[in-house]
Amino acid sequence: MAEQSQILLIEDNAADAELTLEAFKQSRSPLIVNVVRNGVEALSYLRHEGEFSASIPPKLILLDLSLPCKDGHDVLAELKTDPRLMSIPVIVLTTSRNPRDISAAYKSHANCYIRKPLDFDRFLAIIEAIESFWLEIVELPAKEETR
Amino acid sequence: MRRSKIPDNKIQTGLEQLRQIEWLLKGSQEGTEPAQGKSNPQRSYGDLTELNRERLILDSLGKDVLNEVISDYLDLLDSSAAVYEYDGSYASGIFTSSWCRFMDETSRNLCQGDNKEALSCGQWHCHESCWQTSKTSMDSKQPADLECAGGIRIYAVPIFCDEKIIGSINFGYGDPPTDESKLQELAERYGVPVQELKTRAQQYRSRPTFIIELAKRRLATAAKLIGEMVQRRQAEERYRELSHQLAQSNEELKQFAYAAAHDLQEPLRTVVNYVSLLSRRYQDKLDNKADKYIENARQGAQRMQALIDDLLQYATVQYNQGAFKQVDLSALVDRVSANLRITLEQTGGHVSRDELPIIEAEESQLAQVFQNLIGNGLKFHSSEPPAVHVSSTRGERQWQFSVSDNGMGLNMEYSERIFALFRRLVTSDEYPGTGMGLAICKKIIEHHGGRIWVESEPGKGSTFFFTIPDRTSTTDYKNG
Repeated sequence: MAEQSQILLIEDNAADAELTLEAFKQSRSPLIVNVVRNGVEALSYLRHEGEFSASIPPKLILLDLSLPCKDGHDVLAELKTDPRLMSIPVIVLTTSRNPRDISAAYKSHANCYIRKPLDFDRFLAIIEAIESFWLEIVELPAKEETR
Repeated sequence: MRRSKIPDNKIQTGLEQLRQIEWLLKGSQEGTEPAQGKSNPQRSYGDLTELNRERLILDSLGKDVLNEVISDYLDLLDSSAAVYEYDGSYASGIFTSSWCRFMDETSRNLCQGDNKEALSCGQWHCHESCWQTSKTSMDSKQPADLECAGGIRIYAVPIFCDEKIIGSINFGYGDPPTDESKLQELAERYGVPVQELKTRAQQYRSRPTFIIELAKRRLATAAKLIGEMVQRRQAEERYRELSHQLAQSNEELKQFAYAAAHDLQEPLRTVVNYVSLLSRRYQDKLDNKADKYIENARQGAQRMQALIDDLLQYATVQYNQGAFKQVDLSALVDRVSANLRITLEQTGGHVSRDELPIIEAEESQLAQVFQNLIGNGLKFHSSEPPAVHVSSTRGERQWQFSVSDNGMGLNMEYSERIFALFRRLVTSDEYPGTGMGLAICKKIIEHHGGRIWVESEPGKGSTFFFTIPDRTSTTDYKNG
């Protein structure tokens, strides 16, 4: 049986998070989506700190930009400068269409920037595309032994 | 030069004329240093403009330009010249005659300490006279003509900038004294042997009156010139400051629009998506009415989304000269028509165009204008299949474009209103839209320096016209 792919969803809006989970439910392959609600939690999760000491490193990170306190840009910058985390692909998933956000995200080495569509069908299509591209087509680095 | 013993007016006048001719023939006198080219004459005590705190005149013109302005009249004389800021700081000071230079340096040596202390100690006689004459001219708002401590005269005029006095400009003129008692007095005041002064006074070659009068007129012109340059510099600074503020507030507005659009969209997205989820999950478990309600909610949300999109677009249309480039409008209109393919298929419509020019504009904004105008022409069609035609005519300094259709037309009574935000002439049920398309067009065209209007008659189609200034014919302006 194929190993379950872990995905970390960093999203502060509960309704939005649930919607993304709903979309992933249509998934063909076995997936586990973990949700954290803010940037501080996200970094703790990824660094296995505190309550997340037993967390499993995700294959993929979905990052919302508008987060309380430490916002998406801050989290992205920290992720991409941390040698242990920088190789995990980060997909920015946000409603913002501000060219500044887009440019800043890529400058911080986001792997791609996707605008959340208004329409649910479209959203399903996007989640499916993410899954097929990032988890099926793309070769990701082997999971490093975590200390 | 031989002096006449007969005090006859005619001889005096003749002599003066002779001097004028001699002056004109000989030009600059022996034993003088022409001021021209000596842009930064060194004094043994250094550069007094370094102590300038006011710096209005000094910074507005710069040392070199100031020295050139001074040289222009000082070349006529053989003396000294100074430009003061309002507070008495030196913006410039030049000495060309050996008399003035000697007297100035000698009186400087009477003072203790550094230049700053020397300037305020009262013993720097030449400086004191120079500044007093300029101060008198500023206080009286008139030219001042006073005898100076060094035995010659100083003529000063105030410098006005926008009717406010900002400084003074002066020069020394006249022959050094020759009579014994006057020289004795000077020798005592400056602490030098009287013989030294006598020799130096004899070296000085007298200026004819007309040259001094000419120099006085040039001094007045120089004062005006300096005043104008300061004023221009201030205006430039103000302009720079204002454009900076404008750019800043434009950017703030833009960021506000993006943030507002984002925050409005978030909850809207939640509504739309959950309504969709609801209809997916409970499609057959609800009655027809429920499906209709869900569809209405979805449409309402979609309309809201379109409004937010258009508002964002309207708010982010800004004048950005940097984004202007050469745009091939024929290609642009073809691209826009291709984008409207679905509408064209649905309506059986047709878009045609004349050969269009290449103009300087912001491409994406202009594409938006054509998209909106052609889109409107297709949307508001009559019973016939819509046909939209784009053409252009060249005016003297601008291009005029027209987008005409064979659609339903409109009552000219409303021809202004249609360009206002949210103004619609038909219901959104009949013709979907946010009522912002033409407002966006108007804003874009106005940012390009043109105007937009419509000519129409109900049932006979409409023609939208707009103008864009032809920037390619004013290359200088573009590069400025």
